[in-house]
Amino acid sequence: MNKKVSSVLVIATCFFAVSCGEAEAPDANPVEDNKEAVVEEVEVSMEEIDEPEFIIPSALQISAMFKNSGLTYIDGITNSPDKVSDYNSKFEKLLNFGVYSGDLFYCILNDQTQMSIQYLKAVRQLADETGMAGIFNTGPLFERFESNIGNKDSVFNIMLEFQEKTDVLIAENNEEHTAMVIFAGAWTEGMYIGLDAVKNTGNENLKARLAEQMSIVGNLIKGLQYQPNRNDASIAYEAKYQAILDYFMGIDGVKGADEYSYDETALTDEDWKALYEMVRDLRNEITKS
Amino acid sequence: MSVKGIGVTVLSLVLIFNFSFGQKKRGKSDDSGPVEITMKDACTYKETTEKIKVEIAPFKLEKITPAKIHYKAYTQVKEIAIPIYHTTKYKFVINVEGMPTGVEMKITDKPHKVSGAKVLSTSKDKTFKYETTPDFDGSRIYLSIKIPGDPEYNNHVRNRGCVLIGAGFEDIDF
Repeated sequence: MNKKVSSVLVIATCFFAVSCGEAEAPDANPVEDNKEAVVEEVEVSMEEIDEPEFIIPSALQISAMFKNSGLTYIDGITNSPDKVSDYNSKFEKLLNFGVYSGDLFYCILNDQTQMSIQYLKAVRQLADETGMAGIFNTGPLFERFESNIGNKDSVFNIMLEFQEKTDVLIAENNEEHTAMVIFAGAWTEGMYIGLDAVKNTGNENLKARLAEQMSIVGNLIKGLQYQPNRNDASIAYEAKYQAILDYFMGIDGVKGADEYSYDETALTDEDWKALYEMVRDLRNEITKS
Repeated sequence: MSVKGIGVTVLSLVLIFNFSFGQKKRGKSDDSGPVEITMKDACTYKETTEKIKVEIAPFKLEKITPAKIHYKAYTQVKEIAIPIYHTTKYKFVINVEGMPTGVEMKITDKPHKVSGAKVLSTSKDKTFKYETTPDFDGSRIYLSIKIPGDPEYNNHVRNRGCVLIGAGFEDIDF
């Protein structure tokens, strides 16, 4: 009986081996076929999403819009540049690269020249530590920033160059997924500063701009979900952005004329306070404050 | 050993022989060598970026975003959503010099597949410029790029290119 069983197992093993061998080994152009398989797999997954790609707005523009809406400088609200070495994983560093970029633009727009230099230093350190040293190594960007700090036009152009170099470096290295992590950090910091100001001033123009920014959160979450190395920590962040979006979308009358338009007048003071607290908690977790 | 046992053993040997033979056949076909795939990338970031910077004037350049395109054997449409804020007027300069073939582009107020999507502008040129109008009240515009099928695809060539999207805005208080 035992011999019979072992014979049947041998046969079954042979069938299995032959079947698998036939299935996975094409007769011609095996390398070509393998490569095609990989390419097609990526394309199919993109087509299944069936949604347009999304261009991330610049953190500089968002900062400028907030400034134009009456957001003034609040001393001590930004993340201290002294904490730049507190971030350990690449994901944490990228998020805080974004936070410090947001703080950098906020300080530049509010004439905080010395703080701007400190934030650019922090950004440069995180760029070095996340494989993006090329942003600063391809030219004396930092030195030009320091020497032109009193000239607004020059500083603005240097910041555009900083953004451009970041975008091109990311594209050339196929690191598009990192752009969304950086943006998530910048968005969170900008919203934290803006919501704090609304809490204290009730600025109606700023409320409209902050509500406008909520149209991006869905894309931001998808971008984080697209990360190749998702882990418990990054998934927990996704959930927090989702909770902010869910709260906002659950407010009665907030939905506007089209899918991405919102009526900020639907938000009560309680809603603004709740949003502030959610964003503040998320921001403090990111920055370890 | 019983007759059944002998039969099973013989059958096993036959199958093992077939399996070995099959492997050898595949090994023989492997001897023809792998087919090399040639990658061609026509993208020109730096040169095109400089052109966009000039063409975005008099608007203030906000950002230049590269969109990578991988050609396929068949025609495809790539769609890109661009957020719009109502605090300012926008100008877009879309440059396709980094594409190995011509492409057709259109800008719509909704995703192009959505019924009722209004075409705001179209172009087949290397540079496509579009400015938002005061009556536009959407919060996004959508750029669709129709990319022709690549006849080289079936000859083991993978053509790639990029579309650079420059965005500028008008009234920044800086």
